[in-house]
Amino acid sequence: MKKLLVLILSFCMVLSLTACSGGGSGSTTAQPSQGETASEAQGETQAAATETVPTEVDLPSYKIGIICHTNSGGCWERIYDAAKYVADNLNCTVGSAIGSNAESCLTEAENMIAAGYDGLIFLADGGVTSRLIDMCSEAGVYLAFSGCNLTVTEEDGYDEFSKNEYYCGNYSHDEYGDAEKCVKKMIDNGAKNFIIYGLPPGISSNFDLRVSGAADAIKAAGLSYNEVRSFTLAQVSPTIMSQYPDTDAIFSFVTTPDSFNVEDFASQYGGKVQVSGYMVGDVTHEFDINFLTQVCVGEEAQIEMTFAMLYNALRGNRIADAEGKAPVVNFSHLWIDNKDDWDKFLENTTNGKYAYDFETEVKNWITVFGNDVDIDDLQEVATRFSSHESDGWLATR
Amino acid sequence: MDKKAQKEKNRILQILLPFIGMIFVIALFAILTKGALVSPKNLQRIMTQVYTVMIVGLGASFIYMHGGIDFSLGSVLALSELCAALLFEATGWSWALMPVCIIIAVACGFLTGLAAVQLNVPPFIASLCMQLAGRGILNAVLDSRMVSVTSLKPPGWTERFIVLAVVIAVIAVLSGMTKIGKYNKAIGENKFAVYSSGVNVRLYRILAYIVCGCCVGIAASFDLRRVGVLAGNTGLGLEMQVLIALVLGGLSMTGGYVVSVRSAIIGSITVVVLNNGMTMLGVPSNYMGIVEGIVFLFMVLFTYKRVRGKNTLLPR
Amino acid sequence: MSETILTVKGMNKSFGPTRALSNVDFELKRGEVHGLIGENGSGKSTLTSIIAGIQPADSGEMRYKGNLYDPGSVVKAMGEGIAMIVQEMGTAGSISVAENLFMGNLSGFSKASFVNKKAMMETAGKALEAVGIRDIKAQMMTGSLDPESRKKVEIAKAMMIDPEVLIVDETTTALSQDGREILYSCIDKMRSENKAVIMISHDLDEIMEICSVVTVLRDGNIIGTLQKEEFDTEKIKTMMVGREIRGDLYRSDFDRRVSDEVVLSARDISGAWQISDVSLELHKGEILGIGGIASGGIHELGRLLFGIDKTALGTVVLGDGTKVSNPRVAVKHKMGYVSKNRDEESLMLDTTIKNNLVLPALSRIAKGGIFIYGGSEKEIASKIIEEMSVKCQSQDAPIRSLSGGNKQKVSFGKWLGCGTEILILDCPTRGIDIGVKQAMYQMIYQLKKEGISFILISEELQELIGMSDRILILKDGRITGEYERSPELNEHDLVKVMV
Repeated sequence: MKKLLVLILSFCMVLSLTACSGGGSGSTTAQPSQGETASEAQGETQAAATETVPTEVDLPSYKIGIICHTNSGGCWERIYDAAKYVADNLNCTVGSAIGSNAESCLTEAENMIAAGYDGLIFLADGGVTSRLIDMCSEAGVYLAFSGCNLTVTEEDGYDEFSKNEYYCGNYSHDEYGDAEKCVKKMIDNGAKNFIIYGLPPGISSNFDLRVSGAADAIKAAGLSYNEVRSFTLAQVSPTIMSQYPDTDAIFSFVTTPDSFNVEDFASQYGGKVQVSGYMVGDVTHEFDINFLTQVCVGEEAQIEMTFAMLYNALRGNRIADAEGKAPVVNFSHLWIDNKDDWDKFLENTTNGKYAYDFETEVKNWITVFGNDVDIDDLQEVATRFSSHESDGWLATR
Repeated sequence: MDKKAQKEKNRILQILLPFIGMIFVIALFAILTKGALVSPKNLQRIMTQVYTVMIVGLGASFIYMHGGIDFSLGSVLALSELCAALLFEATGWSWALMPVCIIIAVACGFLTGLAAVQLNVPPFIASLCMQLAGRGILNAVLDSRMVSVTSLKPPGWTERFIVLAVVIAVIAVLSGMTKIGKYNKAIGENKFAVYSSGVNVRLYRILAYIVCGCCVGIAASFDLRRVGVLAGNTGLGLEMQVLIALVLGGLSMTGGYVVSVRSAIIGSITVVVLNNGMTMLGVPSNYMGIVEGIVFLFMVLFTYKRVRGKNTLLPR
Repeated sequence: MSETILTVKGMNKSFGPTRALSNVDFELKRGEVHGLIGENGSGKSTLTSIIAGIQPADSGEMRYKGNLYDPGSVVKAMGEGIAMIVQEMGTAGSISVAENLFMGNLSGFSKASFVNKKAMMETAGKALEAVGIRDIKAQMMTGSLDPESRKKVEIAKAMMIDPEVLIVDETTTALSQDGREILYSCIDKMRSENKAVIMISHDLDEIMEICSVVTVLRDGNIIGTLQKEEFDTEKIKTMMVGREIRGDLYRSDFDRRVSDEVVLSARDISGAWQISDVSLELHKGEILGIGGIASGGIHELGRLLFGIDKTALGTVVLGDGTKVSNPRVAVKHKMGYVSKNRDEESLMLDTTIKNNLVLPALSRIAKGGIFIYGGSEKEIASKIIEEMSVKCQSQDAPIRSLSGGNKQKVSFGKWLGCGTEILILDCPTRGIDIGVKQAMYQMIYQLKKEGISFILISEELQELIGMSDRILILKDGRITGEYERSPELNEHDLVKVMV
């Protein structure tokens, strides 16, 4: 009886392993996914893009890895999709791994390096930046940071390692500043009583910075706020308004629709309470019913630029300043606060799968296509992304 | 007696099975990854990943020997790293890292042991308290920042090898040839019998916690130097990793003479190769959990001593 | 001439490679109280359990009341009128006494799958009264009763079906005076009603007193059957063991001179269990017996003397004045303790014989106080195995492979390896057959001569009378009598102050 059990279990194990590794069409596989455009509901733009890859430019196939702190949630999917979008256009493949803390970050980086990756993008909270750079440069692997707001620039030895030829830059957003912007907009629209809503402190420095940015902006305007932070937001959200009936603005720094009963809230408070959201996904409906008033997008934009810069370095054109330091590009998120803009955004990014279009935008940053790029250019592009001026990114799309 | 022959076979199998399991896992993944698993670079990486689990496992096996359990390993690791890192930040003394880690880890282990032995708090609860308290202190002190010692180079291969060899040798001797080992194993078999044989059961149980603390401290210093930073989630889940490794290595949850040094060694290698191999094959992380769970269940079925009750009404 | 009620012909039974019964022929006549005696493993329990339907034979034929008999299950055997009171625990603790009595037999009380509790309780009550049990009620939870009471319930259960054949397996060891009387009256009843009783016992005296015929088994073979007129202790013992038991079972001397040196004394101790104001002195080279009924506190006294339990009042002091406050102090000063619950309290059952034997000696053989070499462990283990004649394959064999008697030798012998001078023995020969018993008594006597002092706690008065230099009787936690070794001393004198 026991022997039978042994056999069955071993068989199951081997079966599941071969199935998982052989199939590999999930988003976390390390297998090449070249030219699998058929499996993606991308639409003509994408097909058009791959067809028009100029044949006179040689595009060797590189393996790029993304190490993120989590693979759950819509945010991750959009980042991965955006990266893949650019990768497909450049004949590259994308793999991913989870590095939830410093140690696993290092471990996954090691694993990827050994598995033959040519370049790595880190989204996870670093803190081990210098270690990673040492590791990568020793192995001849390029690396860049994206969205890693955690003080890459404030780490010991930044002056030194930023000049490392394998380090391609930090393309991050100013969480603090973005939050400030959002709150200021809300105040301009007449908000007086704020609630700061989201997960408890200590989970991610991005979250903590958003909270500080918002809080400081609120205090600077002489207003006050209450905090509603919990691990079980879905249970807490229905009671917010009854707890704080005077609220007219909820600064939420998480994926708001996920933890709210959107219909109920909108029917009662739509138009009376301003609500923000980060990393929201498709919120056309939420805009329609007046649930959300400000959403922030842009994770995809960062990664596209990061990818492009990494690629430049791989092709031998590492973008750097006069001292040889890789760029720090500050990407502010784009705040969209009305339905028209939202519709426009969706339409222009093929349902938000990426931000920048490859042919018309991303390609311009890649040197092998005959472009000259420098850091100021990049920063300008980044700044334009979040600008609501007439030359802002969304406006010109 | 058929039953007796069967039991003998079971015993031998219990000793051999983890070893066979380890070879099987290594062979399986070596083949599936077309040899990439056993390339020298990858083997080196396996070694680094195995390091902490193996050393802590060697120490923790003393606690499991006497039938105890320890859920605080990860928090203690992190706490000892914290003290060492803070000291380094303040003074720059790199030589002090390992001693400080050891002292703090031993102190924590001693407290847990004291609660379990003197206050008679069940070890599982006592160590759980230490886990929560330790993690709490860590987070309070760090206050969402990180402490960095990245200016130190990560430990090199020779150093790792020598220290590991020494630890294995010392633990093997302690476990097999000294009173600490023998008494703890006996306590795991029948605490009262040991007590009534005149042994200071309390002392030896506490000593087990101290030995474990030393190992945690050593592992902590290496971990700190390798990663270079200490965050609030350092060491999270280590105690479960160690438990899984020990069980995969053939440790019996009830303790006793069956527990040995080899459980820690074989088990940690098996579990890391399992993980490493699956990552190389691109297995999604959810599936990794399922596979690990199956293998774990499997080993427990085989090694858990069924409690012999006075159940037979069959006279002979 | 009484007629035969049950015959067994050519019965064989094996458990794997071990032959438990070998071509056994057995005849039981009406009106007989038929004793079955033999050493551990001789096959007596196997034979009776097959008769009672607990397990099947491998081959052989049984005839009951003239017809072929092959019960297949206990319930069927009971239906035919054959009931057995087993050696081990035969009741389930989590149900009531009544439910235990009717286990397997609820059809008499169930209507449409509901059990008529009231009727069951009534009938159960009557069954208990019928055998003379007054202190146990049908609705009591069996788990709350002490082992003796549970055994009494088993007696009631067996008698309830009005059996034609009653099998009693080593039951008297679990019973005190009261319980034994109940059992004996049942046996008497069976005999007077011209029914039959098979009685298995270790106690040769009891068998010779109660039985009208005895059959001796050895190693699965029938050695012989003796009628009451032919009963002879020596002869039976020889048949059981296969060799002559020469000399006495116990000591043959009546020399009760002991040294004046006091090695252990208890001064007005009182403990948590009714032990009050007990004072005693143990002299060097003395065997001090402590007797009484189980609930009189004799076992608790042993624990107090060794320091396992703390005294509430008074002190236990060694010859040099050291207080025995816990086992560690005791062992350090060369004391030892053999518990009556050997398997639970003295032995580590899942490991080797060697590990058990060397346990108390480890601190002594550690070089530099730290290192224990395998060689020294081996040495000690071999020595003890040899001195105590422990029958085993090797010292590295699992201790479970030993028979009960040999396990007891290990439990006792481990104290020889560490220079023990004061040994407290609690029921050291319980459940051990006669050959091993004699060897142990001889060993104890030998050690006594060498100056080792013993405290011998036992519920077997014969043992105490046979071995002790002095006997103290405990009743309800107090000492009610002190007796010196003498040939005139007998059980009745002791029983008077015991109950």
